[in-house]
Amino acid sequence: MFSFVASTLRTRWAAFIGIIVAASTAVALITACGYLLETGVRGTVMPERLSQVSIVVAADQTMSTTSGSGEDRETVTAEATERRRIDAALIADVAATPGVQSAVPEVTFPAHLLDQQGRPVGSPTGGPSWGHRWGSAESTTFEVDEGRAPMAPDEIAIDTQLATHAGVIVGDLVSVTTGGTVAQRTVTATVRHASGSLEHQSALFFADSAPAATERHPGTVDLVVVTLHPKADVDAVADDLRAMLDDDIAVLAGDDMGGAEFIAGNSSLALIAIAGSLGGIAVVVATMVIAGMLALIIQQRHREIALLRAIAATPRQVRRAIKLETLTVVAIGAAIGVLPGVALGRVVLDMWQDKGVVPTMYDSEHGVVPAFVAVLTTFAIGWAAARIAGGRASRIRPIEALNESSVPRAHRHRGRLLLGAVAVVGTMMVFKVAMSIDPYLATALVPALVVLMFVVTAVLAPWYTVIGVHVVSLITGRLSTPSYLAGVNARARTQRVAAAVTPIVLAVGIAGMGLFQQNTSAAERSEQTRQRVIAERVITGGEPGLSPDIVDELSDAEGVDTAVGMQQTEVFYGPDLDPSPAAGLTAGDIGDVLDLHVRSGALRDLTAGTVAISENMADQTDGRLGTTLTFRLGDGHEASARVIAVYSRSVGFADVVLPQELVAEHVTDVALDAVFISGRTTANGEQAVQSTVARHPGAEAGGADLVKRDDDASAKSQAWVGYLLMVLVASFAGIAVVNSLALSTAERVREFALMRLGGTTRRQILRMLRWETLTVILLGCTLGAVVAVVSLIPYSSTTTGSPIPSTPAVMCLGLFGGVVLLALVGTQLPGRLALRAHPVESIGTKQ
Amino acid sequence: MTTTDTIIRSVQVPDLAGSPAALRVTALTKTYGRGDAQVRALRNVDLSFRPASFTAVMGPSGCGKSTFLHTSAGLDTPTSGSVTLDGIELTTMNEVALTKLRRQRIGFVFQAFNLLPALTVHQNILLPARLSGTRPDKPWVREVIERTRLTERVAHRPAQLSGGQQQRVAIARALVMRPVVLFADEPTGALDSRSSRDVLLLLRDCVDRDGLTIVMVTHDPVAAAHADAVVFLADGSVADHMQDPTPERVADRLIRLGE
Repeated sequence: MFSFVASTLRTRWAAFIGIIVAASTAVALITACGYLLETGVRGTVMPERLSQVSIVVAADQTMSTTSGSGEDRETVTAEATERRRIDAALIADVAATPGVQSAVPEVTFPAHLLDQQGRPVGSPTGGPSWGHRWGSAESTTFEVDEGRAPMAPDEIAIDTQLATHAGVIVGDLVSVTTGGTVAQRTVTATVRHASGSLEHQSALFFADSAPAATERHPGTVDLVVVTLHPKADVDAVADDLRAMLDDDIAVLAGDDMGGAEFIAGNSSLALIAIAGSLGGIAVVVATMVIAGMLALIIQQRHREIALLRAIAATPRQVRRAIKLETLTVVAIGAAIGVLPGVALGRVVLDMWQDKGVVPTMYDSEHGVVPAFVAVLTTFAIGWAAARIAGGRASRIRPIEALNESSVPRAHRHRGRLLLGAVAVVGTMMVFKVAMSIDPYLATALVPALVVLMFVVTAVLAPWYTVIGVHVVSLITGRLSTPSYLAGVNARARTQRVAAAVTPIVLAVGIAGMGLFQQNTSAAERSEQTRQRVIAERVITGGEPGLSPDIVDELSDAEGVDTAVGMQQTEVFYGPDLDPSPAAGLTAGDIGDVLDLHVRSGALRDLTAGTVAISENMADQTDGRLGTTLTFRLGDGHEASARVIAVYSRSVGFADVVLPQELVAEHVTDVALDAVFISGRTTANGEQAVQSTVARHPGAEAGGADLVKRDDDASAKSQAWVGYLLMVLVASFAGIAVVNSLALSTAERVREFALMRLGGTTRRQILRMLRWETLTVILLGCTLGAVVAVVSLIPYSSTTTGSPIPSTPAVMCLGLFGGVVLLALVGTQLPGRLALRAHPVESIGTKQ
Repeated sequence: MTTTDTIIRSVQVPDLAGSPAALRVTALTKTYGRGDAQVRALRNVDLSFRPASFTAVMGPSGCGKSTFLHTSAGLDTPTSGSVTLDGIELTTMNEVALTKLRRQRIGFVFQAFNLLPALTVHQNILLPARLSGTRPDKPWVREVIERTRLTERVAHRPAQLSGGQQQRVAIARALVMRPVVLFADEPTGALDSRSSRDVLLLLRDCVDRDGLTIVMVTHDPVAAAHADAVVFLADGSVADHMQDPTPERVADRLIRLGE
């Protein structure tokens, strides 16, 4: 059996190229998704600054809630997204523990060096720029490179890489900004970390005697760095500390310390979700594509298989041969695709880290697991595809070997119609479910809808192709001889048209879904932002942020009626500790600067102990005006507040609005993200704005469109997530398009020879092919567009309120153009090849 | 031209009347389609073929000779009637059993497209043996290859062979499993006269030397003359039979068949 398979593959390798390409693409895509998935699952953040430290005592960043009782008792955990702090009084207890040589507190706060123009200097590593006290420098293994330690309040030390990058040397007077305030400092030292270099952060060390204005939380520290006696055992001391300290304090050693150094929050979960769903789509698409390619190959080898059945092979043996052929070819493809897949995963991770979608400090060392799983999965796909195709092949009757023509059997049989009906019903049910109000459900079900609708189109292809072909040829049939011939051919061989249309539907459906979904949500977000910000002037803080004090300053300025400051964070709600974006707003006439489209209540009632929620949040928590919302702030602190307003314009903003004072207590970075100002823009008011900007490096003042501009920029980088891999999956379907068209054109050698002998010129045949291709493109694109749009109706309804998703003309044209290009490549090239030989020779060609 | 339905014609030579038939068909009927479009390709055909005989089946187009061949060989199922090969009833067998029977007891030679293009001559010849899991009898295989004069060509692929050579490969493949009956559907139809003679002499040799039973459908009187007997079919029924045919007698009978 195997030698038979080997011989077949050797002679007919051209037909299998499509499957090799598809298999290698599948392995590459799935490996990349697996790579991202593993990164998310591991979620390992390696310590860097703390890497040489023995033990670190920090607040446990994990929050948990237990609900239910008895057997249903469930504990849900989530990672806090803002840094939790620990009581400074603990330091003494830690220091007194046997084995501990010293226990040094460390505080971390955003601090930026400013350049000559007063702009903040970003860290050359691409990561954040953090300030600490000199007291912790030695414990966290920083050594003085040049100069001496900072002693006086106006002295600082900075890390060597940052110094080199900023062109600063020991002795320079520099400006630094922390928490929104700018100060002058003298650089007395450059320091180097014991590990050699920092890859994910930059460090500035302030003198211990410097004013504590940078710390907003007196009496607390971020973590305690523990140095041990030389003979002490790390594990024993750690255990002792754990026993002594409360459960909400974490004693960390080794790699775990990374979680204390970098607050990554729950971004790993998002990564897992995205990678998982894209990987799932890739698997489904790959199966359908490979099965389709196999079906085509079998159709072409139809007579050969019939002969095999006639003289020697049982149906089972035919199935086995096909399985072996497929798996061999898949193996070759898989071998080719593994390394590119690993590279692809790396590239995508780097890009997403670059765009800020994934925190930069995630560990990207990976084992072979993703590649291994991808290869196994691709084999499974090949096996499944071979089963589907093989079943059909084994049903070829031996007598068909004796037929002169290769007319395929009728494909419009009842079983298929029944399957199609079931698929239609299934689609309608899923559609109905998706149309329920829950936007998360609608989003999650979009891929499911696309797949279901595609199955419907694939199964019912023989029927609608007949209708479609008749309609199209009615329009185009009369235009010229080639178009007439194309119409005749299409009507006679609807099976062939259907086989070519199906991959186009898949490609357009998936690509359309991805593009339009991103576009719809981005358009909605942009629109809501535009409607929401009605302030006359907006000051955004950039990376350093704005000092909270300026809100009062600006309010007092002449010409300014209202100034409202905003700080963005996250809250966790519900029994599952679901995250939700939240905004802290300072007190004032919020309605003058932000139109949140309040449905009930009033924002001016926002005071301590109150909260305003979005309609989505109200649905999620069964809340309304007057009810109490219990939730946790970004650092896990439990809180509850009375709902004083419900609003609807929440996209791109927040689902929960809290008083800024509350938020300020529970965030890592106390600086404000933006200030909104309304008032007649008098000269004085404008002056106040400008002076604020001057004092805050990185700040920018503008009209309401400033917010929109920043928001659009960040939305764009988020969109990269979806666009990239969606394009990859769709191009995968594109392989199927080219393959099916190429194969079916190539097999028509005799048909073309016959036409030429009958008087048709080569030119006319090529033109006929173009018309046929046009028919296929029209049918495929129309159906694909329907699949894409319909699958997005629930999503669009729940996100934007309008059932029609956003389908910008440029994207549609681009998609259509891509399909046209693929289709032309798939037909014109093989067509020319098929027409090369002299017709008299070609007519004698056996299939 | 006879139109009676039940005509029992035996082509058994009287002195061998007692030996069992290699192939016997009884009341064999095959109908295609329904209602007005119904075509009765075979009507109650009764025939039997004794071992070591070479029979040609002839008739005008549409007489049902190909259908007869297909149903007798287990490639197609008759609408009614029975087909017995070496005592085994074919009509009650399922597809898998039929396949196994085909590859062990039946040989085929078609007019064209006999060989798998991806395999060499040697692989083609041994294919039924391989797939049935039986080890081929090496000396016999060598002899078959010699007698079909393919020794030089065993490693070639069908595309590199002439029509006559391809037919010889098909015959070699059919012979390797030592079948009970070898069915040939217009085996010389696409060949020139020299290759035709080659193939027919080879077939004759198999009957004479190995005791093979051959049922050959043909429209060529010269080919039919190589057979022991000829059965004439017309409109799905047996019209006549002839012993010890010569090309002239066969051609003459064929012409009169059309009247």
